[in-house]
Amino acid sequence: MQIAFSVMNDVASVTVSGRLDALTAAEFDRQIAGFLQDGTTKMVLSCSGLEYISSAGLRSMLALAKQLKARGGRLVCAGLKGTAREVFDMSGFAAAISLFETEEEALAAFS
Amino acid sequence: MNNLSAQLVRPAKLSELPAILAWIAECADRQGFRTERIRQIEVAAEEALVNIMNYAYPAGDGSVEIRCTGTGPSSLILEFVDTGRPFDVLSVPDPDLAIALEDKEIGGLGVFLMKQLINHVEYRREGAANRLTFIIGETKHGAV
Repeated sequence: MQIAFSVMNDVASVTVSGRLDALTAAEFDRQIAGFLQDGTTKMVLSCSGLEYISSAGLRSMLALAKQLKARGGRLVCAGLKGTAREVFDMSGFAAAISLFETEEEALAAFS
Repeated sequence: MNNLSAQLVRPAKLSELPAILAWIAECADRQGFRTERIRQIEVAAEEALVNIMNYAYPAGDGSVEIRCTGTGPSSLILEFVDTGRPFDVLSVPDPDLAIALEDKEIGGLGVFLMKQLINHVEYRREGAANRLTFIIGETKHGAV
């Protein structure tokens, strides 16, 4: 699992790729906690490189969405596809985390 | 095709998860499953394995045995056997998917995904062992 972070205006962009499973989800949580210390409230999770996500990874995403919402912010997700997208859809999370095809569209959701 | 018949025994520790999933993926690949279906199988297998790793052996160490039996092209039986405390993973209730974000608890999500992704799942307690069996077909729909 690889994770990269950038900020444009006041929207954080987190690119996650590889596999988000029960092991790597803990690392994801740790890194995200670091990113959130600066008071981020708006975040785009770019997932086009995410090949695999299990319930552990979904739990991490939902926890992040809840945290941002509690701060008056929002989590959206871009580029989720394949089995990762399918598992996300099965979990019913689309009501809480909006999905976009591209990062551009996701960023536009905040403007 | 030559149907696969293979077993793996590993310590029931989370650090073993990637290697076990890779082994299962290799078995599924050899039975001719396509890539996306293999990933679905891995997601379901991860749920079975993580439950064993987290809950089967509260007193300490134990192992998990995984058996792959090919039954035809894109047709596989996957069994997870542990000698931990009795636990029927299928008895975990489905999560309520419709409730608001604030109220969402995620207990049961993994088991729900397992049941959605695998054609038929059975649990049996056999003596001192838990046996969880996945009967897996080419797609998650339909009888195998």
